[in-house]
Amino acid sequence: MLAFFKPIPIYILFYKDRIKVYRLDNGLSIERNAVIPFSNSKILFANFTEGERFLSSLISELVPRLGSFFSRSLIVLAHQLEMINEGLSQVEERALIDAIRHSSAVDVFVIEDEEELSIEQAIVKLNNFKNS
Amino acid sequence: MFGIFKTNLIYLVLYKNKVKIIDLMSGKFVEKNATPPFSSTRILWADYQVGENFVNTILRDFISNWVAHRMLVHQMEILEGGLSEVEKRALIDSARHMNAKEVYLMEGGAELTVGQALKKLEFLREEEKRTK
Repeated sequence: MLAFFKPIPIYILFYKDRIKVYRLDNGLSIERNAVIPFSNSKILFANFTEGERFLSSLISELVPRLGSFFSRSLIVLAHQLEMINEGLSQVEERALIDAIRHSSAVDVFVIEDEEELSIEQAIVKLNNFKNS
Repeated sequence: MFGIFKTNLIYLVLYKNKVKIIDLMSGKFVEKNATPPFSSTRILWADYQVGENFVNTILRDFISNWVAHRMLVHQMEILEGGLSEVEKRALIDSARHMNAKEVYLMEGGAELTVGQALKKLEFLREEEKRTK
């Protein structure tokens, strides 16, 4: 019964105008290109409103809401794979964390790397962050 | 006596790792290079904590911090593709942390003179009132 209240681990990959979401507890995934672009030439997550709307639509498809009021809480590993020359700046990181928190995430950890992690690696990484 | 309720009118001009602050009431100005840097190659206001601290230390010496500011923030560089939503939000948030109660943004073009800045500030204020 208590397992129901445990946050669901999620792994989100951010590409230019494209987002891929993995649910780490059952391996389901969803990948889609944004209809309204949220990236510009300099910043991947430039248009905050559109990016957030797109992200929450993907997450709600993967983790259905409970009735009209309740949504399951999430613990998220966010991974930006493109436009990271010189590293993610504070402003970009804050935008990502805020957008993900608005889709009912309790904890968000951001990583930046050009290679996608496997599900097992993502779980290990998320656990490392949780325990640190 | 009611002088204490007056707002400071400030024109903040942002260059890459350089800030110019003009007090529009008296016309005096200060211009300084930032150490440590707050810009990255892609975003001008990238490290907002460093930027805020830097501007706050200048403002504290430069002008009375007892009253709130009305601020015109003008970004001059790194404007390819225009200011994105995330950059605008970072600038507005930072200006509010610098004790500004009203913030107006501008991008590109030439630096304004004191008279022009005052006119622009009044114009943007009127425009915002009209849209509310």
